[in-house]
Amino acid sequence: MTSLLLSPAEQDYIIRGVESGFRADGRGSLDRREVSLRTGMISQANGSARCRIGNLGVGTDVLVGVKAEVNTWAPGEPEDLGSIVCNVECSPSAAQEFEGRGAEEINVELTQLLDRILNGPQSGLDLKKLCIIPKQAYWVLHIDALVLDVKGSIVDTLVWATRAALMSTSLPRVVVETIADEMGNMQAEFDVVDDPDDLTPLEGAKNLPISVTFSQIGKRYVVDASEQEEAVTQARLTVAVSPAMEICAIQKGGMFRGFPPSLLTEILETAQRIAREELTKFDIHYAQAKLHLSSQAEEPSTGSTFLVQF
Amino acid sequence: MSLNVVDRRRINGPQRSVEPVYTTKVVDPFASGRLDERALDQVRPIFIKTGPLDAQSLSAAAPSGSAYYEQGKIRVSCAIYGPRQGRKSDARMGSFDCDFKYAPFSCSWKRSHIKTSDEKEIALMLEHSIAPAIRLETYPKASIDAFVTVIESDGKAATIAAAINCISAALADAGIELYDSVAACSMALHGEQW
Repeated sequence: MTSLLLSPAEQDYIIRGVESGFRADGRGSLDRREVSLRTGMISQANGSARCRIGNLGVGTDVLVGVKAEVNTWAPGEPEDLGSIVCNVECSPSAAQEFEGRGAEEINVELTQLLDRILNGPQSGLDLKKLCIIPKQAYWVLHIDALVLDVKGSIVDTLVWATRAALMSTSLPRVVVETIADEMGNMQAEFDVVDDPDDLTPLEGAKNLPISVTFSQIGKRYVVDASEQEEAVTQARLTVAVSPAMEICAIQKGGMFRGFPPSLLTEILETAQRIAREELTKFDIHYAQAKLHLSSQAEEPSTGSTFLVQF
Repeated sequence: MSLNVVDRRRINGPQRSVEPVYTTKVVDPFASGRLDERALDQVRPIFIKTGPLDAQSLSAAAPSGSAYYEQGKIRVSCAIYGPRQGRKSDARMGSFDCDFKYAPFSCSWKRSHIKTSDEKEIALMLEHSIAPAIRLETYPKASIDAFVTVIESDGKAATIAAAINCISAALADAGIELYDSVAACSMALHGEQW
């Protein structure tokens, strides 16, 4: 989504390469680059994850933090549900055009896309479990994503990081008591347990969807476009698929072309197939991230570990 | 939206006001066919009028094209300004920008005067849907701007579809070079049925 200046020769090289089935970095048209995933590095957040997708240690880098707050119910809101609030911000360190108000459009687009994937029954999260006392108090999950670097395929990295952050989120335990007040009416009161080790993991995070972005270059499409490939992409389709193989969200981007309906159906089927493999890959990366976290206890906790371990 | 920022340009109402909560029983829209007795695949009747809403505006600052679109209770109007000087003076292709705004009285609850991220996202959606149909390569260094105002809304997805249709009509009225006009329709999944 950032504009990289490519010469017509380079553009032609990429387009013809993709049409013949070759990509500049040797990947197949449906292959993703290397993924680095780390969770739990932000101790102040209820859940956090950092995901980088790219070759040779350089790539699109997204950091997601989840903070849970208790909100008081107001009339008009659903009576027994918690809620999720998403916010995505592209840091100016990612690209020069994100300075000042330059990132406003892309922030809005990514925030709304993430909100569409997460808010609603398709996300798999059980919002009922986030309700503390019906018509009185509920948990609000603030999901804040910070895009640190952009090297193509920003949406997929964002969704990977968000999924990992939510899977690693744990909420403090809440004790609900019903007390009788002076007039004998039963009032429910809640108390959040202050013990940092007494936590319950977020329910249903394993059902979250994962996204696959297809970029149309010339007459063919590729998955996980690199920066150069994105500069010659004419249209983009992001498909979010849940572990139950249901399509949760579809977003078309790109100002130059539309998709013919036959290609659209083909892409949706391919998305489901790829999502199955991606979810297996995700689970492997997530397990490694957790393993790494537990081994961090022996290492010195200085600020540099955040960068070095990644 | 947090209301810490006071809007000094307008006479402000109370800091926080909410839509009233009705105590009457909620009707299931699909209990016995559709509420307005349409078939499942039937759209609401459409009315389109191109040309200025105010037939007397012939000033130089008038939009190049405009359209008013009605579909059932949905009312959308669009004005096209352009092709006019674009922001980048070295662009090989023209740029297409959309501006989308709900009028504060258009929905069943009052909407803010300030553009919310919802409206900004819909504007991006409109741009991505319609730009492929415009021959932007015939308008280098120029920009074509569409300003959509929703006067009355009846269903978010249907309103977006109405906005797309309205912009297409307005672009045709403005005489912009198009590959084709873009039409849109919304669908909803209820249980197993579309």
